[in-house]
Amino acid sequence: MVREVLQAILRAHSLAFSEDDIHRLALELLDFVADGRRMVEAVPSAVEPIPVVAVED
Amino acid sequence: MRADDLPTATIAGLSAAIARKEVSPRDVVEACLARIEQLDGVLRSYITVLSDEARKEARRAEQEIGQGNYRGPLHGIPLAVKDIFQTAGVRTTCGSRILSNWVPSTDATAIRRLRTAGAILIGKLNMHEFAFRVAHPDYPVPRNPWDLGRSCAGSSSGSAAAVAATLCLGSLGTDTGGSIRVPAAYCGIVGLKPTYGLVSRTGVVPLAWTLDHVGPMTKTVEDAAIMLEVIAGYDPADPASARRAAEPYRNGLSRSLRSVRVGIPRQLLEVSVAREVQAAVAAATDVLRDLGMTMEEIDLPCLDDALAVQRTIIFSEAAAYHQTYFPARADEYGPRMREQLALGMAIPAVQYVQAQRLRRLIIEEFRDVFRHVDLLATPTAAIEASPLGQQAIVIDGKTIEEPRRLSRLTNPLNVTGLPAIAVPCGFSQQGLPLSLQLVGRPFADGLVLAAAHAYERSAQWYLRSPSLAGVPG
Repeated sequence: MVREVLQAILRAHSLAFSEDDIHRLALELLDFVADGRRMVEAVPSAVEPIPVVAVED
Repeated sequence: MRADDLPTATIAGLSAAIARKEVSPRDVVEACLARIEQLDGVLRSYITVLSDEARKEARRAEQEIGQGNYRGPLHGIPLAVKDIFQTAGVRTTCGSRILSNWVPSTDATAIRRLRTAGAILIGKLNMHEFAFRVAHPDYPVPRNPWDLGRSCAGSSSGSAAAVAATLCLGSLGTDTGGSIRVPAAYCGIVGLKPTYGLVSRTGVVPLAWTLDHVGPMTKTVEDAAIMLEVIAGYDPADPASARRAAEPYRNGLSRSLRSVRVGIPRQLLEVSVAREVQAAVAAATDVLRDLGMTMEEIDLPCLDDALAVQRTIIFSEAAAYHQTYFPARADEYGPRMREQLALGMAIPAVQYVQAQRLRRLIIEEFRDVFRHVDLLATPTAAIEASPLGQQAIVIDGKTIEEPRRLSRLTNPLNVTGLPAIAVPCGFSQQGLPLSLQLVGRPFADGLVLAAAHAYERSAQWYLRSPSLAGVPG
């Protein structure tokens, strides 16, 4: 699934990588996705992102 | 002043001699240029050497000082900067092919402030491509002055090598995850990442806007304080700039450190750190204790989260910045840089937002810790400088499965924006430098510098210089 998504993104941007490279990059992207999953678990729903908009006079 | 006199020179020492007119800025510049000529063919720390411009500025500095118009401790001092800082009329490559012929029309704010203080820009220094983890093949990687077969790390690799070998008296680097501090650690010099917002990023090519910091790289803490005093302070052109004036950091170095509380994060003790590094940092904390500070172990469970947050942000923001050139000019990037930018484009927007939410919690966790302690002490790098070209991280003979975890020594301080300094704390059996990192509260840069200075003067590792054996002279 991650590999297909990555391939679609690369294709959309006309980026050419070899099959071996795409396989390796898909594994790296999977690692990022795992980070993302852990982040969702770690953040209570009330927490807002940084930076907030600072309005000045 | 001869090139042979330079290895033991510091900004503080030379500036005193220049102010007394015992040493001429022209002689200092000539000595630096001679040393670059002699050594840099091997060290590869410079991308551009500004010989003519530096000679011209040195003549002007000598004239001004001779007329009694001494501007301060950087007047007549030759500095070089990472080639990521815009310099008016001088090409700024970012270690890339994309910008290999770019000549900006204005100076970065930090450069302008150095020039106003009388510093002489002697050249632009080698670096990882756009400061993002790897060098472009067009730019051969710098060699470590302590062992020419070893790495300087990155991304401010040329800055660390040039300062360690005294091919300039000090440098400016940038730090998005450790890029000032780790090269400083590998090359046995001082590297300061100031509080986020204290030093302007205007005119510095971004890697990741919300993580990028500008800071000095020098031989001693006093020299770092001298440089910070000049470059710090509010800049309306930088949206992240804090409305704070520079402080008298140099005068503050002698402040009392009695009863300063130093926290040692338990979670960092669990990181794979080479035994020699652990022993050197333990010995350094003994020195801090002898200086009147107190030590206590503290908890920072968020450190693994900080690593994930930093990675997501740096890849996403770098990909966003580079969309001007990427993928349109993808072929001009180095192969790994191309991959990193492609990965950055594939990270979901929702994950970037989650990272910025979790970042708030990490900052709060650090804030809680700093209610109980004044400083944190950690190793700067888990290992001594690794052999050039070695991909795997080996600690005490064991290959590390997840090398990215090692960066949690430095990158949480980019996520939180806290001030952090790398200061030499000994040498490995191989004769390679080891480094202590001290971290403070937001805008407690003065305390961080003072503690590092007291440690440095007590331990005296700064008195050693690389022999540069094997460099043809």
